[in-house]
Amino acid sequence: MKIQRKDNFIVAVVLLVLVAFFLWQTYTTLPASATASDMGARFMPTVTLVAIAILSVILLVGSFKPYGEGEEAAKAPEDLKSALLFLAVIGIAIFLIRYLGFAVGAFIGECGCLMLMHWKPLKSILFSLVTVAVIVLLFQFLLNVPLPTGIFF
Amino acid sequence: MDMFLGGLMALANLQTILMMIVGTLAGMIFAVIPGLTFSTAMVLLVPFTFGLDPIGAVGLMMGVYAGGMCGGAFSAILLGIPGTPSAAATVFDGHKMTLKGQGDKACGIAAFSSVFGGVFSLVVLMLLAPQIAKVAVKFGAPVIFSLVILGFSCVVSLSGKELTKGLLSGFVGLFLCCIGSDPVVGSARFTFGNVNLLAGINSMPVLIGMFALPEIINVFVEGRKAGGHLDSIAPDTKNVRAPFPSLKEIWSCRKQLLYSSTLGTCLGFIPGCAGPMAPFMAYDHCKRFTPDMGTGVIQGVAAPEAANNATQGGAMIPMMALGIPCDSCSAIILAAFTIHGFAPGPLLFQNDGAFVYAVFIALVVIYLMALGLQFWGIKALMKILAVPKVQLMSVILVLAFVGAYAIDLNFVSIVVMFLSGFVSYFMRHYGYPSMPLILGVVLGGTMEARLRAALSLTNGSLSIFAEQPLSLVFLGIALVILLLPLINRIRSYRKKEEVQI
Repeated sequence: MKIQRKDNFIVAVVLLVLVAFFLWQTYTTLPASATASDMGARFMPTVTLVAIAILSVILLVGSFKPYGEGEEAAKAPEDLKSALLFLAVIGIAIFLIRYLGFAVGAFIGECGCLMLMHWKPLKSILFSLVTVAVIVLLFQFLLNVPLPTGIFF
Repeated sequence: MDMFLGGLMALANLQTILMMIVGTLAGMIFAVIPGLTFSTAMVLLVPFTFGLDPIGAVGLMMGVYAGGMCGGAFSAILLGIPGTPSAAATVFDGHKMTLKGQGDKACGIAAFSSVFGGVFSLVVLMLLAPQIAKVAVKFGAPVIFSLVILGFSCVVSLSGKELTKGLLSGFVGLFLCCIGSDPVVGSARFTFGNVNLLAGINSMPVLIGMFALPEIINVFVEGRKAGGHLDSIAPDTKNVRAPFPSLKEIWSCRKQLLYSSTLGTCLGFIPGCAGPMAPFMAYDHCKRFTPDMGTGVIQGVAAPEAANNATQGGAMIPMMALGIPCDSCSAIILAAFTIHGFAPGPLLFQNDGAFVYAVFIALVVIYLMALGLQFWGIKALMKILAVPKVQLMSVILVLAFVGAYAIDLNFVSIVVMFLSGFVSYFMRHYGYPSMPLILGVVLGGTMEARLRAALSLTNGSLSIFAEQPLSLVFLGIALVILLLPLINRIRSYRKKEEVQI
């Protein structure tokens, strides 16, 4: 049997692996119900995980079904590579916010994204610097909303 | 009367009025720019509300909601590109009127119809919501749980052929709510020793990630392809006007306005039916008694615009009276209310009646402001289209970081925002509806608490749902709604087979 709907197959397999992991977690780390009337901490996770498992199996089985008339294979996002690049830069920025602080992390993230869009380095740096400075001033000093701090500020 | 006066007093404050103006403007700006949605504006403005008093904060959020509902029509009429998905049906006649040189007339009737539909649904909201809340306050845990299930099934059933994907999305949302302390016994669930996860996953960072990040990535990818700059789509604003329609024009649209406003209010009340569905249905139905529609007439603009705005009041009824959001915007408002200490539901009417009336009055005032802003500010609004999208999105990216963190001053929320955005980006491309997931995250806690409370009454037996007629009715309707697409598929399959034989 050939896999017809690759995307569904991948999602189903990933979800089944995650369900197995979280079910194992549910029954190894969560206490069973202590009273007869309450269903306990395991109840809701078990219900939702079993439902996800059943639906994933349906998706998995359906992924072998050939496409019918008028049906089309789901297309990967256009420029998937670019999207992943931007997501990676944003992910790194968040990691930097954790350790270097909001101002530095957000600046690097924004600057990185602009440079990925072929902006000139100086223009990217200036634009990001002004944006981050305005936002820090507005939130931290005018609205008194705390921002994440790190090694720097 | 006391509550009404209390609400009026709460609103009579310069900061609140200013926030309502700012919110209405922000909503309109986000709605005018195609590709940006006012839901994004709503989630991004939440951190700005922390320093405000709760009424001011709610005024800001409501302003964005109502302003956003009104603003999308102008780009649809003048450019033929709807500013929001809900304004898509306005393109049919609105843009044709622009091509005929009647763009100003179309903008005027669009502004009037938006406000008419919005105020119409608000009147229904004011009359109906307190009565529903009065009845709902008597509901026990089984009935509330069944109601939540009914809301879910409505939203999931809209996935159509992709019912499995809709259900998966909903259950993933519900599972996310299991992370954190157990609501009854308090044991830590799936926190992996991280104390920041004990409070659970806040719904707001999930909403910010799901609304803002995919839009940011899409613009960045487009921008990268275009060498860093996207062309401006601003029209020539020199002759752009939105004159107040004449009484004759309004009278000629009376049937469309009333019919569409009623339809929009009713559809807004049904979970998942707010948004583009109402204006398209209103347009289609009104076309039956207005044969000219489709050729560029004011009735073709009035019908979708009134229906679009009327969904707002309709969607607010179950959100305010039952605590069940019907669309993404009411889910955001529910989360924002909760952040500011007001839990929507029947008890809100009992405990914070003045607040409820403040919200109602605020919405009426906001619609009047929107009317003025649309008539006098249309030129400035259309100039906003000249703002470069790439620069705007890079600012929104930084605001998304701030918004996610400021909710609970927890770094984990930024990570949650990023992961939600990441998943949402791929969900959009592979046909997984995001609304069930959002509803799962927003209502998961209520659902678990009510389900466990209901089951504890019968020591875990499901018979409690059968013993309560109302609960049984809600669950029955939910089941029918979920099975309907499946039955239709089997029917069409059989028909096909018969034809082949």
